[in-house]
Amino acid sequence: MVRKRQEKIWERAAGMKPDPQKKKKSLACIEEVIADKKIHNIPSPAELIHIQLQYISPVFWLLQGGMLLLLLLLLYQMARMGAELADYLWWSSIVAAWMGILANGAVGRYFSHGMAELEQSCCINLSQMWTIRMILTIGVDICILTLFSGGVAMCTNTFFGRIAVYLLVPFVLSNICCLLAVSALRGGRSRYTLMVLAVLAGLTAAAPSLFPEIYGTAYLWVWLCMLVLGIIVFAAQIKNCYGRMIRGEMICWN
Amino acid sequence: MDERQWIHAIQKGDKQYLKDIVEKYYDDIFRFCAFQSGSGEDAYDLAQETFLKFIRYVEGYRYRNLKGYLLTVAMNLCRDYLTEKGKRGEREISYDQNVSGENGTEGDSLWEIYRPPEEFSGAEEASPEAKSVESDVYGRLTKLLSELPQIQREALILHYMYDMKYREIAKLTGVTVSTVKSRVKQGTEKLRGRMEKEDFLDG
Repeated sequence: MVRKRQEKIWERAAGMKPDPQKKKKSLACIEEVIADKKIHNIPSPAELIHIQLQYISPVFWLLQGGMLLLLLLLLYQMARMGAELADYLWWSSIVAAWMGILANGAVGRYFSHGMAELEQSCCINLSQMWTIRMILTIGVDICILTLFSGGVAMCTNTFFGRIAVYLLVPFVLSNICCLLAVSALRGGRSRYTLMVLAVLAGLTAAAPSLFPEIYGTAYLWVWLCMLVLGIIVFAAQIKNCYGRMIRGEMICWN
Repeated sequence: MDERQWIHAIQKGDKQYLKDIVEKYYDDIFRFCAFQSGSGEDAYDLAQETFLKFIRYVEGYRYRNLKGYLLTVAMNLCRDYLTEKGKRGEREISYDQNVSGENGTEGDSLWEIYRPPEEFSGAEEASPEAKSVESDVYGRLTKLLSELPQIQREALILHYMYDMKYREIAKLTGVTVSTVKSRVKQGTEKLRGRMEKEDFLDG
């Protein structure tokens, strides 16, 4: 009974209306603000990604497609030959390292000469463009490597996560090296530097295959530690790049 | 046209829908501000400020529940208002003064309310007596609510007056569902006790 009465009071309170005159006055003030309001179109994240997709050159997608094709061919050929895990990882680690170079090499264009002027004159948000481009390229690379890891796991009866760790380590490390080159070295963005970097990264990534026991479960913790450490360093590098970009050091001093 | 389409049209530059949104939700926001702040007069300013904030940042609006969003803005404004009021050392509510109109002109009365004529059985227009009774109910409820802690009060208002589920209130207030449940339970018990003490539940 008491509860019903209490509910009745709440119902009555929910029907309360403001005084029409005061409401009118308040609405008039709000309408004035609406009349003065200038709407600036801010694209949603999905629209931003769509816009950025239009600016990525077809060559980049062709190269990414080439990497995927190469990995698929390797998978097919190795499976036919009945290869061991170390054989799969030898080639795929090299391709993973190249993918890292390719991703950051393309992103390095945002630090090019004249970008500061372009940012000001075209009202572009460079850090936003950089973020979206990084997300897109690294996201695509991770998808490709994950798919390939699944394929290798099926062919070698190995746990999928283990393969993913072995492939992500060279990928993350090459990302770190390439980002360092394009952001810190003066000639880091040139095609030749990137090619030299790709050769060096490929050789480094292939080196562990000379010691197949490194891919054993006993050393898995070492790979995991390297991956975690690599991700932390890469995140710190990105943060540093953002800071330099926002302060204008990176794009104004090149 | 639903609200999402309204928002989409506004973000494309059609400002007419801003007026529609304000008209649609003004009463709801005003009511929340009135019971939460305990001041019928300041509730107009708080409701107005809620909409002005919404208008200021409408380009970046990306949520689904517009009413919930507006209530969150209003809730934050009321919290600031009460903190400021507390700092100034004002009483949370001056019910007696306001209802009797001793503190100013008749127009300053706390619950100078309006109800559509059809809500009063058969009457062409709300009679002064009916207005007075309703005004008394709002005034007494506000007084009792003002004696509750602010967080319990807002949970009670959202739950009973806006029929919001615990999950929705939790999302709005940024606390867990169990915290909301506990706030509503404790608040309801306290309020009931005070209502009984003041014979508010009689008749």
